[in-house]
Amino acid sequence: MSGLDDKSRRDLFRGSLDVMVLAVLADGKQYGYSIQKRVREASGQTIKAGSLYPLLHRLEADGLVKATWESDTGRDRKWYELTAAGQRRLKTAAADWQAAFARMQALVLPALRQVTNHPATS
Amino acid sequence: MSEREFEAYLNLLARTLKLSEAQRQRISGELRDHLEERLQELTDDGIDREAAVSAALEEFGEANTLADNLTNRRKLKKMKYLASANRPRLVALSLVALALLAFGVYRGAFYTPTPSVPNASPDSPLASAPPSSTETRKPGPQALIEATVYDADPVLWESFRQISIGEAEPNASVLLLPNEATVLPTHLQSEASLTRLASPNLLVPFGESAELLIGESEVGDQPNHVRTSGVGIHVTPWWHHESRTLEMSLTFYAHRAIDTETLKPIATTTTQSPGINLESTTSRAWLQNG
Repeated sequence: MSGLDDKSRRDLFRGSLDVMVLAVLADGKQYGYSIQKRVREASGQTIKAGSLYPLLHRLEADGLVKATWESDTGRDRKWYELTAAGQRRLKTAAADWQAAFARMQALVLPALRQVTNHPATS
Repeated sequence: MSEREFEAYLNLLARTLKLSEAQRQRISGELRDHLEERLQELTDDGIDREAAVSAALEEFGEANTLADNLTNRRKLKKMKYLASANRPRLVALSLVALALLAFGVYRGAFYTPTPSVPNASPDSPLASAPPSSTETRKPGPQALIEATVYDADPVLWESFRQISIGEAEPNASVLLLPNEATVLPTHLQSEASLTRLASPNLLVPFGESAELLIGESEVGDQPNHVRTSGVGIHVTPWWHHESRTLEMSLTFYAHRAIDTETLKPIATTTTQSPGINLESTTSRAWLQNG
């Protein structure tokens, strides 16, 4: 049984999309479909294509990724890669995530110990 | 070869995109690549071709919605560029606005608890009367012009009939002078229960967002978190240069948790409150120079 309801889990996922996409691109350039696959493999959640492309275009507009068209595979394909600004954003976002995770752990773990050692009787 | 359904979808998308032909073609090309690869993967998994085509298209959602999202992203880029290019003048405009505020030119726009008229229609005397603050505005290079709301529901009308646009710098920002008291639910009408959480006047660069908050606040569950309840409005203004039209995207919410350090919302709940319909959480009001 999961502690989060579906909506909370979706919200959490949605709120992390930017950083997930930037993290995928840290390994090198990718195209839309391959980004979607990598996120799905890593998180078990799928970014709908209808959300992915507006997101990629926004990251491009913000200068966090840059795009190039190549036709090495026999068809034109748009590839995305991190810019220096994107790398900086990823570092900041990763640090924020770590800090948030640490704060949550500090709060949740003692509470977990408490309810484990002193379960409610009724 | 692309499936006929793919082409029909991409044609519909391209027709809806308010972009140049070259931009439309690039977007269609990128999405076609995705659709074809997805179709290949699904059929490799043993899914019937017709079902695979439908599934691949379903993942993109409605063509109109996608086109809208893609177009807005590009508008945002343009607006950001304009805002950035005009930064010195934006700062100047902000200072002018602040100076005007300091001299009480907008005295009438400051919050004073007034009887709520949540159901007032645009035809009502209150809605159609010009805001008293405009009478004292002085013309000049930085003069502010009034905007007239149309095609907005009564609540939006009452909330935003005092929107002003910096005439000298229409690309830069919008100054919001909300008549907030008129959107309050009945149970929040007493002065004691109201806490102003944000400035009554906001200078919002086009393409960016701002919050107009009114209601009660309390310390949240975590450090730096504040929970608000009452009525909040998340607003994103867009300026359409050719038509000189201001588009406002407004989202109403009833409860919101905010990180006080970043001022970013952590969670938002839209629920039904007495006196105001929050079911319809996102609305658009079109305004034109009046």
